[in-house]
Amino acid sequence: MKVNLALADDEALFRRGMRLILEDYEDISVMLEAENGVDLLAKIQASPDLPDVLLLDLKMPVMGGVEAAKIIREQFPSILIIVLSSHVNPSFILNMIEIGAASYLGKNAHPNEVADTIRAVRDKGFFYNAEVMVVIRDSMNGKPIPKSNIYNNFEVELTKREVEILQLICEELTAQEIAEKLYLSIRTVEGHRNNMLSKLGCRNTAGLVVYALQQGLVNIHPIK
Amino acid sequence: MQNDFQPSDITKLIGIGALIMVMLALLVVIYVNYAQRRLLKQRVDRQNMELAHQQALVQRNLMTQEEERQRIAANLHDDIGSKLGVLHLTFHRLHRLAEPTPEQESLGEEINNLIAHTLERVREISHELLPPTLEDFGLLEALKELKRQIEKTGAVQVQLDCNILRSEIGDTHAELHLFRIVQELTNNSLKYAAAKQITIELLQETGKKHLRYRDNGRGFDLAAQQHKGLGLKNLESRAEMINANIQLNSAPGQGFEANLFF
Repeated sequence: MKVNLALADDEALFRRGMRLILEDYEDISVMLEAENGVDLLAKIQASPDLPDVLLLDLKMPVMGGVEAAKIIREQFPSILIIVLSSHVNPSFILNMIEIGAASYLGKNAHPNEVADTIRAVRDKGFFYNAEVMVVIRDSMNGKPIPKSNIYNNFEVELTKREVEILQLICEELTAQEIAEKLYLSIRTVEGHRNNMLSKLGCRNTAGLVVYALQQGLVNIHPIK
Repeated sequence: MQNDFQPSDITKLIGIGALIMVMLALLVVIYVNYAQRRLLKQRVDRQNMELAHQQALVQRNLMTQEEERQRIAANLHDDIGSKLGVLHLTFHRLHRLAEPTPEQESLGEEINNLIAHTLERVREISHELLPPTLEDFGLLEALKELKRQIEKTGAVQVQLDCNILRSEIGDTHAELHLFRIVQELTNNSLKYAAAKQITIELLQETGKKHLRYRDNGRGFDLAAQQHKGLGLKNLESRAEMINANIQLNSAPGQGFEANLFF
């Protein structure tokens, strides 16, 4: 199935270049382009079908990507947001993940990485590359209770099975792959995942991964 | 007509004369005193005016500097940076057109690295001029970033505590000057004070907000710093620009503390 993609960047030449490159991939189709946040929201609203994935620049005039992402998370929560920004630093990465970005890429990412990320996000709901994983993990150094994890105060306990599944989610396995690996049905895996979502008060799988990394619940091997 | 003065008349006259003399002297003293005070007041007024003028100059200077920084950072990032992004994409499109020879491949690699490196430098320079985090995520996030940068060197610990919501801290103007003040203070702590521990607190107190900054460095004699360095002067000017009251506290061997109420 094709991924329907929206593209938001204030540089027309960048949008054109990105569209031309991505359209070489048969499973990606650019359905919508916007030059700023306001333009993007108007075009999403006017479109009969919602895009699956949004490639979002942050620095744009009129309304930037930060503001646009907040509104999209509110109004169109099904759209998965991949930030594509020249600002690659912990503050930007952590804040965008907190807003609900499913992935974060630098503008100098190789086009193949962009395409892979689009597919991974579509399939698994998130994709954090090694750099982002390290940033999330390091963000917790020396801080027992983060402000975003208020649920931590309620002594949430995950079962052994849930931690096992969480580990595999962090290793970027799809629900199908996890089911095969653990000899479970895919519905059971999804059930466990949904349980964790409600236990931990996370809004999506990305939230689970952030929780797992921050709490040190799972082992990651970020530099592969 | 009798012309004989009685001794009592002479005494009276001398008394009156003396009284007049005393009054005259008193008048002179009062006048001189008055004139002196007027002169002094004029001098103080002039000094105050000069001081105010100087202060205004420093403030205008700071404002211009900030505007320039903002302009250069924006131009760098928006123009050069985004064109480099386009260049990066265009290069990859070119690369896809044909199977490159090994030589073309290695040249391509070189170009690619060069673009990535230039993009990184543009980002760094515009970041130094004006941290984008401040603009997009506010003072607290910018301070967290500053903390990360300082701690990356490994020699200094920064503790950051805040009980104020972003919306309560102030407008972007206030956030910018508060950030610059902390930046200046950390520079001093690292460069001159050789501090190992820095504590930054942003506190909501009854009726006002309080920025408290401390380090455990070698400290200095504030009184001996009559000729304030440009750094300290800038701090005071920035504080005044956001209607804040700044108090500095330090002594040799006692570390340094700054309290800002706004």
